[in-house]
This record gives sequence, C-alpha cells and structure tokens, in this order.
Amino acid sequence: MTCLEAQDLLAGFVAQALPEASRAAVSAHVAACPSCQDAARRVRTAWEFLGGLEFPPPPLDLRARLAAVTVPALAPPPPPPAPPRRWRGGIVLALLVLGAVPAALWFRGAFRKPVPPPPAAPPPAPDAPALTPWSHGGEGVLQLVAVPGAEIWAASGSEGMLDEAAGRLHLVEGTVWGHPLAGEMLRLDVAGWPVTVTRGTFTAEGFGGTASLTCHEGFLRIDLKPEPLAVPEGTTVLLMEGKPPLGPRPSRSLYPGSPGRP
Amino acid sequence: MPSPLEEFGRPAWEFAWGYTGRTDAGVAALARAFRAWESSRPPREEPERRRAFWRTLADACRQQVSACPPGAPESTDPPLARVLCLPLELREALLLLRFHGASAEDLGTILGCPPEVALARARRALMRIALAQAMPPP
Repeated sequence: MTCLEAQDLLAGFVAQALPEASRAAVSAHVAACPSCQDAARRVRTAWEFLGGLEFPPPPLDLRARLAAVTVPALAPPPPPPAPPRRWRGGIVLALLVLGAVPAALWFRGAFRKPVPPPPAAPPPAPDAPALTPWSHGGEGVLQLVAVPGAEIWAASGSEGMLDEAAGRLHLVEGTVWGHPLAGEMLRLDVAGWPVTVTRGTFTAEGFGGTASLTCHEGFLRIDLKPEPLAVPEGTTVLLMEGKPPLGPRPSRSLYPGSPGRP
Repeated sequence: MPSPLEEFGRPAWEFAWGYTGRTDAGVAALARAFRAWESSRPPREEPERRRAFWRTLADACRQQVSACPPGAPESTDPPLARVLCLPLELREALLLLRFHGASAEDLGTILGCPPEVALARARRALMRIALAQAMPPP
C-alpha cells in the first residue's frame, strides 16, 4: 500500500468504517510510515474536535410544515378542481336537457309505478387515516404530540383502537422518537390522553400494557406493546423514572445494529 | 407504512440542516426528499432501504442548494461553523461518516461514487478542519 492509498482511507480508518482487510493494511502502513502517522494524527484531531458538535433542534412545527407539502397521509385532501370556464355553459345546458327528459316521461305516465330508490353509494374509503378519530371510537392513528417547548418532535404512526363502551384503549406496537434534554420532563399527549415520561432507560408496566422506554444513541425511544389498556380519560400516568445514560453521548449510527463510532 | 419523517426522524433533519446550514433551507430539502421518496418504490429490506433513503436525501439537499442557495449559516458554533465552511461534496461525506456512522460501503452507495473516493472526500474535509484549527483566529 502506498502513502497515497493509505491517506485516502485515513478518514475511514479513524472512523472505524473500513472493512477488516483494508483496516489492517492501513494500520500496518501507518505504523511504519512517519509521514502517514502525522497525517493520521491530524485527521484524528479534527475528528475529535467535531465530537462536541450539536445540531440545532428542528422547528417545533416541522411535522406540520412537511405534512403541508409532502405527506399526503397527513395533509388535508385538495379541493376538487373547478371545471374549465368554457365548459360551464355546456354543463348547464346538459343538465337542463337531462332534467327535461324525466319531466316528459312523467307526463306520459312512465313514472306512476313507484321505483325503489337506488342503493346509497358507500362512503368513499378514506385514503389517509384521520389523525384525531379517537373522540368517537373506532380505528385510527395514535399520535404522540409534544407540548410546545419540549424537544420530542417525531412520532411514528402507531395503530390503535379505542373501545369506548368498554373504556379500553388497545395499542398496537409502535415507536416514538424524541430527543429530550437530560432530566427534562416531557408531557406527551396520547390521542388526548396525557402521559408524562422522563428520560431514562426502563420498562414500565403502568396501565395494563407495557411501555418500554429506552435511550439509544441519544434518542428517546418509546415502544408500545399490544396490550389492552383501561385508562379513564384524562389520567396522567407517570412512568417509572429512569437514570440518564452515563458517559458521553455516543455518535449516532445510521444503521441499527452497527457498532457506534468512537 | 410510516411517513419518512416518522421512519428516519431527527437524523434526517440533522443531515439536511448540516448540508444547508439554515432551518428554512433544511425544511425545504427535507420536503423535496420526502416527495421524491414517496413517489418512488423504495426497497423494503434493510440496509438497502436506509441507503436508498439517505441517497434520496443527499440528492434532494444537492438539488435544493443548487436551485436556491441558502444564505449565511445560522450557527456560529465553532465546530459547526467549520463544517459549514466546507465545500458541499466534502461536507456531505463528512456528515455521513462522522455523524451518522455510515460505513465505507454505505458512503459509496449513498454518494454514488466508489467508497475510496467518498472516504478521500471525508479525509480532505477533516484535513481542512485540522488546518483551520492550527491557524490563529482572525
């Protein structure tokens, strides 16, 4: 391996992102080459300098702003397009003609026999789940919405079902992501049912089901298990308080299961 | 199927922000990426699915910046300012490698180039930052 080849791979070497064979080759070359040792030291210094970088939090209305322009499942349906102006006169004329035909048939007695009304057309199936269907029961999308000021900003669309007669809330497994500050109390609203969580790594069995909260690579993750719940509306459930993770915040991994970078 | 925002969450935001350097441009880049993602037929299996998403996001950020160059970066935080001073092709490689833990193979797939080329870009980015650190502040 030449110096040029080794130095091109130095970033991957420092990031531990190289395959094993390449990593061994770069390591052997750097150990024997003073020039590449100096380059590796510089790269490593810059790498560590970036360790304390914090990106600005996303705007609190990010979800709404994106839903307005991108996600059809979250955006209200667009109004039907108005017919072109030049056709409007033709449409009115056609309606008049269509109305005149039944009138003429009525005069001829064709409509004296009662005709059963046509079956009502079924309501069009909604192509997107409504976001707030919980007040009247039925199936819907469970939303976890952070109160403004909290940093939780994204929640997965977990499916759930509310059985109002039985007073039970059935949750289907889902995941919520957040990024709270250490020790910060966050107030979440689960489809109108307030839930209070604190940062930590724990599993709580609070309300007939299981809610697992974990801190993973700087993110709070809430996993809801498909267990029936019996929570009266308006109940505030305090899940077990956990300890904030120790040590420096690890870098995030793009791929679950891959080792974190130093 | 969850929306891309729900599936990829904050890392996608941070990449978009780190690429554009501004909140409004980051939101626009995310919107562009999500539109492209939802109009495509992305792979269902990991890790191809995530690679495909990050490639879509990187492409959208590139298009956003070329179509509507963002203004001055909003942050003056020293490490972040160093990143935002980098040319875009170096910046995207560094963002993926340093802050999202991409492997060499992931880098090549996402950036659409051989892994060695992507790693060389990341190395050049790091060397520039090291050089800027060695220079006295103005």
